Amino acid sequence: MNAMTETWDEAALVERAQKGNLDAFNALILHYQTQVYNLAWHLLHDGAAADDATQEAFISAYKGLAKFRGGSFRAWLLRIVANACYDELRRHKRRPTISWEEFGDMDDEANPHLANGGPLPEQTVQQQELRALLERTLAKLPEEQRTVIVLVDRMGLAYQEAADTLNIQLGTVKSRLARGRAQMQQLLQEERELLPHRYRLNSEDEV
Amino acid sequence: MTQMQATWRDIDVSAYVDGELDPAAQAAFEMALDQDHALRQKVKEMREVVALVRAVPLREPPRNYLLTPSMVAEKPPQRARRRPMPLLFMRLATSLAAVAFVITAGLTVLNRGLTPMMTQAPRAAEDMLMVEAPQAVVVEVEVAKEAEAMTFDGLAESVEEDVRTEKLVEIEEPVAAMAPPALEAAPEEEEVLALEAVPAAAAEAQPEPAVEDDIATVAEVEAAERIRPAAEPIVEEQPQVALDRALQTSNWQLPAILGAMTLLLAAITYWISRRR
Repeated sequence: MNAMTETWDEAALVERAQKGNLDAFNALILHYQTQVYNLAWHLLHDGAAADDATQEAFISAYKGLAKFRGGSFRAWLLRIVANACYDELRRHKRRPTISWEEFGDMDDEANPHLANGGPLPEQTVQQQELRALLERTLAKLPEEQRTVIVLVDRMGLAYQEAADTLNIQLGTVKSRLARGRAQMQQLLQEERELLPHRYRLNSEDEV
Repeated sequence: MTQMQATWRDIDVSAYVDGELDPAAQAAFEMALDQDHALRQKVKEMREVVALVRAVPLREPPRNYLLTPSMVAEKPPQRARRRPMPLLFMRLATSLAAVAFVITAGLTVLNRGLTPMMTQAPRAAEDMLMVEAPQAVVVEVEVAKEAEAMTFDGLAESVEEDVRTEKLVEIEEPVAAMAPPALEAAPEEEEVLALEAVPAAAAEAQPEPAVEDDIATVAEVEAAERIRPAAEPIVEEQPQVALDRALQTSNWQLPAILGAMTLLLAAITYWISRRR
């Protein structure tokens, strides 16, 4: 499936969903639920809260489909969940914490790919360690930089899409991303020995 | 290194890694990259960081979030038709009752504050009249008696003079001695007593009192007639006070009713809002 077909399919699904077709919207949910859930998780740092926020965001999105005027549907959807998460944070005065590691075991149970034994156990352990290190490092970043890194580097959004999602200027996305990456590099450098060899920074290979 | 820092910042390196530089900037950056080892190292480190961040897959959601018709059913409009109307009405009624209560209570308080002033003013005027009235009576009595006295002989004149003097003393003493509350009733009693004493004194002092009695009687009647009107309002004051009190009591009934109504409506409104 190339990008053009995917875009067309998405537009058709959105149009059908706007006419009240719930199955079409559920197809969109299946396509985007991982990204929506991950953004919620990165913002709330709580599995149950992210779960609730994701469900509420999809319900809100379906009820507010008439307000979608084109553009990136993914950015529109992610903006809804981001706003829901910010509301949740304001409601409960919950601040981001660094205790992401305690969710590692839950993540293994929830991840069907890992549970079905796709990768080898050694690779799984390595992935878990790398995830723990990455999430721990991300958690040390300021929230605005972390969110942009999650959107662009983790979810693969274009700069403009990230700007639309967060309702900020394109230049702001660029600067936050650059500052976040520079800080990530510095933080990862401090824990260089914990990284797998192929991910170790400052290797002397040529570009 | 110095050249790179002066020309290319982290934001440019980051955008170059993502291919987000515009074509002209990208061409210039790549030219600098060929000549600047430090810049190449910077790009390499940035790419390593991005690769590391992208190396870890996203978390799998714990479940699917598929929607069912019941989850997106439009329930609020039905509730909006049934419940908000009574609640809205009750809130409006409570507000109106509260406003009416405040207005009436305020007016009643104002009224209550003004009523004593309104009633005290006439009463003060009456008091002033009461104080002045006996003096005026005294003056008038003196004038009248002087005029009468000029028409009789010396004996009668001397007797009359004594009687007048005695009467004046009796009249002036209570007037000068009376405190304001006592002024209301005392002058009448004193004057009557004094006037009653006049014939007796005259009879004792004068063996032929026929003409003198008539003169004294005329003076008594005239004096009594002049005194009485000044004292009459005193008798009417008690019903006036009672009326004022009755009016004040009845004035508080309306605010009290409105206050009770406001409380009742507020309680019902609260109950309805809690049911929602």
